[in-house]
Amino acid sequence: MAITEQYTSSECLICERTNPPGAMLCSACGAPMSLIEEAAIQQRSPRIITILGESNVGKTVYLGFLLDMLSKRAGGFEAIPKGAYSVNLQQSVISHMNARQFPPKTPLEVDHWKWAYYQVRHYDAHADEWFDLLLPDMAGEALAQEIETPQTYKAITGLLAKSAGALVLIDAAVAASGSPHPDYFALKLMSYVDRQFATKRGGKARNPIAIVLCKADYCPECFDNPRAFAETNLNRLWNICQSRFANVEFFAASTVGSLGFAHDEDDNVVPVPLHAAPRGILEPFEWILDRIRAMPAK
Amino acid sequence: MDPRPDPRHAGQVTTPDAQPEAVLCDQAVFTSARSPLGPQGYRIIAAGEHLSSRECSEIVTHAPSGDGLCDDAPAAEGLAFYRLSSGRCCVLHSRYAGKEPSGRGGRRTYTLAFVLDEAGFARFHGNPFEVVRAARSLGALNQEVTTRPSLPQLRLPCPPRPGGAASVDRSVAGIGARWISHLAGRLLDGQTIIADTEMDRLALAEAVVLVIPAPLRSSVSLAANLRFSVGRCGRLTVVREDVGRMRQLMRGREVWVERIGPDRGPPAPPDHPWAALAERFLCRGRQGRLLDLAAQFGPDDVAAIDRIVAACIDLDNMESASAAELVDTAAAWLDRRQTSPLERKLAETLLANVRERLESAAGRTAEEDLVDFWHELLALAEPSERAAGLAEPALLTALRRAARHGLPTQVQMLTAAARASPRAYRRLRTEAARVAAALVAWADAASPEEIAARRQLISAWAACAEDSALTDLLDRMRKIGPAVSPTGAEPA
Repeated sequence: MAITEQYTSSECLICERTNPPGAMLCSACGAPMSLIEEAAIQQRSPRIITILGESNVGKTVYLGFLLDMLSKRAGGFEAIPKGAYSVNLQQSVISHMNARQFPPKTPLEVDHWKWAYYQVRHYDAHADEWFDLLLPDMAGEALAQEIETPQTYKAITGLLAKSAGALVLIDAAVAASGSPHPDYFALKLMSYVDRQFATKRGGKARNPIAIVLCKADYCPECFDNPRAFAETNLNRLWNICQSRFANVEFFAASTVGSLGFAHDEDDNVVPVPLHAAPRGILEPFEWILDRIRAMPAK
Repeated sequence: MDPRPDPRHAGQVTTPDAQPEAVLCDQAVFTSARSPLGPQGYRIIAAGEHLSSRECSEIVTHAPSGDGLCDDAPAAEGLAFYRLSSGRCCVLHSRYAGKEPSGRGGRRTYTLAFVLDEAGFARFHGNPFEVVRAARSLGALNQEVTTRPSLPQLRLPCPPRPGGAASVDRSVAGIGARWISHLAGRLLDGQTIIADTEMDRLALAEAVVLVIPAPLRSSVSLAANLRFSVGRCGRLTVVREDVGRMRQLMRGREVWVERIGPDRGPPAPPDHPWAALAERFLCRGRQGRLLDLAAQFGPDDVAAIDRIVAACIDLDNMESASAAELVDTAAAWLDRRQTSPLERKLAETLLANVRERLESAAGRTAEEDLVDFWHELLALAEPSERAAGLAEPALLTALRRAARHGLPTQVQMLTAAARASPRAYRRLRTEAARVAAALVAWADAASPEEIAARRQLISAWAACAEDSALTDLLDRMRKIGPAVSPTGAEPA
């Protein structure tokens, strides 16, 4: 079925709610309706890769750097943003990092999230194959609330239901410090993802999931062997991945080369990114793209 | 002893004489809190134990996150109100509380949620701003709650009378009565409104809420002075945002988005009758009367809103109404069957007012118009005993005033009463007896010619009024002059 037939002009790409013509945001989930317009223009079903992770884990920074590297043709990728809104996120991240600031927190309100719609291809044996990728930057707090009370954020429910794969970001630095919190959060998150990706026959979920151990510059051993790091420091996560997911891989990543700390007038600790040194950003994406390519088309 | 009330009776607190004076409400705190090794960011950091997880998640989706207010002032406040899916009412109060603790820029927004049941909310006259005022009076708004497992229920004092008049005054002075009634009219017509304004947004939102009849207020979800978000967009949103952007975001939805203010010129007069009445009252500086009326509405009165408006207008017009208009008003309201308690109450007030004013008019009406007025009163009195009772004081006053013109005028008036309205005449019996006695006294002193001259007049009265004094008088007249026919007509 052609994409133009599959998606009518007023049906939300994420939650499939029919919206009145001309609507800018879906009335049910708040996702931008421009996504479906892009999909209709491209005549291809977009593959959604959802980036999941707790608040402050670095989803916005990771996604900003990833999109920026893709648009700079790093790693043999060619990427074309569809619409100015797709560039806003990477522009915001790079601008803030250049000013030695982390970008502002992503608001909880869905209509304030940034969405990126990119056409991507990889210069390899499948050079002619273009992927339409939809990468939303959601608020970690919204995800946490959705995990605690499913269906709170219909955009998240819809995104995962439609996702071809997911990048799950875990704070490796906190995990390495001995806190069980990242492991518990990851366990809840993967349990939630399992429910969304689960097959009808109760088998393992086949959608590729890249577990990205962020802020790995704090625990360099993470780069040497991410799987071993996860098995040791995020054992609950490791176990559920082994039990419930057929297509999962662990990666280490970091974006900040060195970090300074300051205090604001309320005595909050303000981390200052002194310079950016992205490492391990593309690998999870490349892996997930390969796996998506290998999956049979629906 | 556990001082906490039984959660099964969460809601109203009653005193021994069953007069509710406080309402119990659950509370929650939604803000950004940082813990080095624990959860980060905006979340509910403390909540009452009677709040369900679904209610908490609905608070999260409605509460603002960082830099969540329209106003930059450090003391800025925002308010949201909406119904939870559990049926309870939720009032959110937001303010700034320092910098964002994650160090990622912006200000931290601190939101307190007050959750109370419908009956409890009604004790605040359906005004979410009253709930916040009650919480403020307890000092609850200024407390900084840090993470703790459970918050106790708050015992919010109920206001004895509806408040918020200051917000109405400020809004009328700032933006004009027309805008307030225009917004209220749109809400009453079921529309969703997003208003962008530079004036005091909280005051404007409260003024619009207060203009709406109390039972309808809980259906008006609102957000005032909170950063615009589609997900938070209730029936009434008062913000300071770019109208073009909001229109874009709301494209495809039936939402009225407009920049409002004194610089925008007055909008069209409201179509809704209650809103039109509100404008009339606000323009005449009768805010207190309007707010009283709006607060007096009960659930059964909403269906009768058109008739209530009519009663209010008639009441308002009464001061300048002529005697004839008063009679018309009274006749209209006597005929009308009142279906709601407030309508009944207003109709009773109106008729009591008419009764008083008719009596006063009877004392003031020009001499040459007195007979015409008498006939109007008789027409008013005849349909029912209630109508006759209404007209009675005015009839008596008019009849007594007619004494100045002599007995013949009074006899003519009584004859007319006996013919046109037996009900009215029955209520004038005492006065009629007095007039008859005066006639007898007059006849005793009158010459036969004088009696003959008045015979027709008296016989006409006697013909339609059963009065022994009149009968006796007529017997005496027969002895003096020619016989009078039973109908009062002179023999040929």
